[in-house]
Amino acid sequence: MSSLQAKPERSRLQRALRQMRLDWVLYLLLAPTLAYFIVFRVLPIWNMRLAVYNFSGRRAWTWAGSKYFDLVFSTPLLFDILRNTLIISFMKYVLLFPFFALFAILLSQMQHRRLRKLTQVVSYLPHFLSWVVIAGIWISFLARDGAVNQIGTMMGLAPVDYMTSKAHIRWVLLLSEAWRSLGWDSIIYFTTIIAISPSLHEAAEIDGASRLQVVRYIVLPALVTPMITMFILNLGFFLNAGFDQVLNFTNNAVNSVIEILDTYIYAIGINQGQYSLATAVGVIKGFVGVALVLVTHFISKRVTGEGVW
Amino acid sequence: MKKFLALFLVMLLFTSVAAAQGIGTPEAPVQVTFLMKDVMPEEIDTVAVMDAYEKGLAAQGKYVDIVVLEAPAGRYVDVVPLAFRTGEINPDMIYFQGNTDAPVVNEGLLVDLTEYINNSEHLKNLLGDHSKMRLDNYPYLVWAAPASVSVPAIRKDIFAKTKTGEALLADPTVDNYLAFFRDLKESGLAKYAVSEDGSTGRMDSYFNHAFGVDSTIMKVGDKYVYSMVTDAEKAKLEFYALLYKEGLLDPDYITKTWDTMEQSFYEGETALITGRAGDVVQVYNTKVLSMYGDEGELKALPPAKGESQAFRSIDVTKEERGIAINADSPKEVQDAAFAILDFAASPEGRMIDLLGVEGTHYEIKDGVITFLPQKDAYWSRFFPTIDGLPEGLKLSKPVMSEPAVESLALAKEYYAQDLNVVLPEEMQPLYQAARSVYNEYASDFVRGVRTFDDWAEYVEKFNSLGGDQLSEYLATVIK
Amino acid sequence: MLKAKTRKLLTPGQILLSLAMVLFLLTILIPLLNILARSISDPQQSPLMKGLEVLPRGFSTLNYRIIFGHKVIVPSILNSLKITLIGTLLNIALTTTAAYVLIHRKLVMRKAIMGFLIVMMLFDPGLVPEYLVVRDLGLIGSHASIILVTAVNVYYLIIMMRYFEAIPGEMYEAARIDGAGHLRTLTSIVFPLAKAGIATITMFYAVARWNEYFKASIYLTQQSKTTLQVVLRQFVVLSDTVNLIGSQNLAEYNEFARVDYAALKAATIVVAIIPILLLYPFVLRYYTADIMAGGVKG
Repeated sequence: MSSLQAKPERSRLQRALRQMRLDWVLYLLLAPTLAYFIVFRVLPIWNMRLAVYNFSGRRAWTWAGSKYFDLVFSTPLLFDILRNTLIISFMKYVLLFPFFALFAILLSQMQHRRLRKLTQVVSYLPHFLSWVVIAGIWISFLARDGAVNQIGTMMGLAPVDYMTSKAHIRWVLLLSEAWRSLGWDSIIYFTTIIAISPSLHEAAEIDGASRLQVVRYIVLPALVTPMITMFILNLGFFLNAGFDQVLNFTNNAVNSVIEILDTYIYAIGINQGQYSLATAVGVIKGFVGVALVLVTHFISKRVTGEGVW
Repeated sequence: MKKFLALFLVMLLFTSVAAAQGIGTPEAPVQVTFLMKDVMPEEIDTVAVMDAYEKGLAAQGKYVDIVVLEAPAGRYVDVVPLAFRTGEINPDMIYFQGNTDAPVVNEGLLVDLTEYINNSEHLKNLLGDHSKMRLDNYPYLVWAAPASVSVPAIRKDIFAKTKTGEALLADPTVDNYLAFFRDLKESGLAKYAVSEDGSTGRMDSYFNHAFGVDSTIMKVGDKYVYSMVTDAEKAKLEFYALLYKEGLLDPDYITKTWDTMEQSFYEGETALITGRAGDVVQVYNTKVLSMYGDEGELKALPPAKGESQAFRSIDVTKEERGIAINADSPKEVQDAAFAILDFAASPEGRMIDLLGVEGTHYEIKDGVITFLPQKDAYWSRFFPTIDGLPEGLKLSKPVMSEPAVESLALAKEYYAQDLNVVLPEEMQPLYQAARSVYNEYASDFVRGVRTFDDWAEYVEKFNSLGGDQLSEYLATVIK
Repeated sequence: MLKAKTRKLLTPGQILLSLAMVLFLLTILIPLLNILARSISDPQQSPLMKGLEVLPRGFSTLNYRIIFGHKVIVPSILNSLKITLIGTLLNIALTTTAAYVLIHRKLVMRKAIMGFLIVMMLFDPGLVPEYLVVRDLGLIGSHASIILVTAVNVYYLIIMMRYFEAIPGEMYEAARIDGAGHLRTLTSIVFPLAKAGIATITMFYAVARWNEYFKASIYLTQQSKTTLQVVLRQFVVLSDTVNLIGSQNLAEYNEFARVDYAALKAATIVVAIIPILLLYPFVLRYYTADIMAGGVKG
């Protein structure tokens, strides 16, 4: 028993317990939030077992097995529906994604303070409109004799009926989504930009950096973290693709290329009170979403060192 | 002694029969809770109607206390079925709409009304044939209303200026309809003859039978198929394609919604408007009268004549909406609830439901019922039908405007019954897929995006994506 | 000084940028002004208005009178305000404390907790599973149901964590050396330095609360307790509107027939948006570029 061994090696567990005791205030602060999730999330998620039962409000639930999952997957149009869902999600969560940061950068570059503030306020407005209203606005924008085609004919282009064109409709979804969200979804990036230490800006000015160089070497690096976070989080909702929007923009001419999972479920469960079916879809989306987030999080951690946490 | 005994027995029989007919007592009326869309307990009119009903029933020896429950805020179809199924609300009489009742029935929560209706005094006479058929198939919802037939209508002033209008009324063949539409456009009376809200549903209402599209499910050869793939449907779509090509059908019909379609009509861009006979035609009529004066009044048009002549066949598998009685309520309350419904179908009940209460909504001067200003904001709390009023009533103003009444008469005259089946859950995806194919191809055919050379390809796709399997199923179910 | 500023504004880059923004703004302003114009136009003329008209035709307050004449409209506005205020307060209290806790990398089980939260975020229980829990807690019909059911949004929580992590480590270190406990650190370091972020997340929560329609319609069953969004939605469905106007016993019965439903719908949009617009000035105040000044030295 040499006295060189001052203390016995502590096990991982003991070290952990010690840390927890030190951090007891933190756990206390976290407790209400965790309590919320346990009561209002975990318990309802336990109720999601409804997906394999037939719902009854007053009597016991009877076992339904995979019946409702079969309803989701037995549609002859499954391939088309999944294809549409993935393409539209890709367009919104990958293609459109960088433009929010771009918009924030442009905003921060505006020297005209009043105009910038006006732009901010006005660009946030469409976010508050329901898709019913936005569809009404866009349908008349894009009508054969609407604003877009009028400008097009002035430039010598033939008028196109965008809303009934299978080739164009997905881009219409993308652009209307951009129109609606550009302002609002860029807020996070804008707050990140203005939080960049002014001393960095001063240093760059002293070094004679051009505007573009400032953006490249100061602004963009600051945006990397929030962008990665947002990108990974959004991936969790990949199967959503925008039910409200598609429902309001679709019509018989183009439905086959924009029918997504949620609108299909709506069509077969419509008004029937198919609670189990809706729950089954929630289960599917949950598993897929978690898988996507975890995979991209770990890949991102490997590659860039940043993830969601 | 024998005579005395006989008399006593007769009296006993009489009183027991009378007692069986009666409900409750004046001191202890049977309480019936009632949940109905857009009917609020504190509304003055609602209180007045329920009071009048209670009095009317009391006069018949039925003592009830109608308690109107507050309808939840939010969409009725979202909130009420869920609340009812979980027991959050438990009314004795409850209104359903949007087909949200089927799961409730599957759980045995609603009363089978067959016996009640058969023994009823007034309801069984008030109900239309379509309602009776629906009750045969599905005896849980009762609804006294005209069949939901969409009838085309046009403004009288525009109609008067056409050269072919009279010929159309005299003999509404498809050719005459075509000539009429062309007339409307060429005379510059409107930009388009007809418009739609996304599909050809409204035109189908008055063109289906002319082309032989008799019902949702038709027998072709020895197979049962959906009408969507029949030659009759093809002929009809070819006609629509012609209308589209000649600019008689609004080229934007695919992207229009019900409100932009109506807007187009009110602006005078489209000549015809098609709406449900009765109440919707009434709304349209009121609007055009306010915009264009008396000459703008609507004229209802008959369905096109061809293979046969009728409005689109009416589904009789079940009522889409209606009032049901809670199976968990005590028998006494169920009886009382039905008594209320039967009273609503009686002449006295109809009168209160449609006209209101004397002194508040109307007064009687020299035997003529004249409406008071309060009547303008009044609407019926029970059934929408205008049938069943007491005979010989003289009204200063008809309950429904003339065009609305006209549309109802046409709907009744040209009524046809549909052949359809409620598909089991597992077949819903197949039906939805086949229907999607139809919607897509039909819109392509009508707009000329595809030629009818592709018809065979369409039928093939329809069948492979569900049509064949559905036909197989139909063969087992339809006798 | 002024001349230099103006010169900055007139560079070709700035002009192009400003022009592009103005164009983008027009695509938003014109339809919105059209909606506003329709809502205050004379109902005889509003059906004839085209999509790009920004000036009203005639003038009439009929649509707004119909909306505000609805018995439940004022209580519903008060309910919305109550839920938004109390709800957002709860949201921020929980989110800031949780975010503060979770940025401590040495926290035991941190990764497990984060994983747990991600799962919570992505598994949306849906209508009935959640309804059953709320019902079993006896909360159906009370405002507490809405306030509690959406008490923390994991998405916003993670964003809040990013804002807190942007505060330089030296600040936390300095506080620790000063002997500050967690609560002191939270209130004297985090809140002031992450003001813009907290204001932003507050706005996100407040807007989400104000706009909540579906859950409000399911959980707030009584007319007297329901929110503005639910009441306004009733005006947008044609057949409901007919009954709704009728049930209000308006004095101007003859005007009822002339109501333009599209204009009425436009008025509901205006009423729904206006209150939230009042929030902007408060939040924009935080978006000035000198938040961090005085905190970290170069």
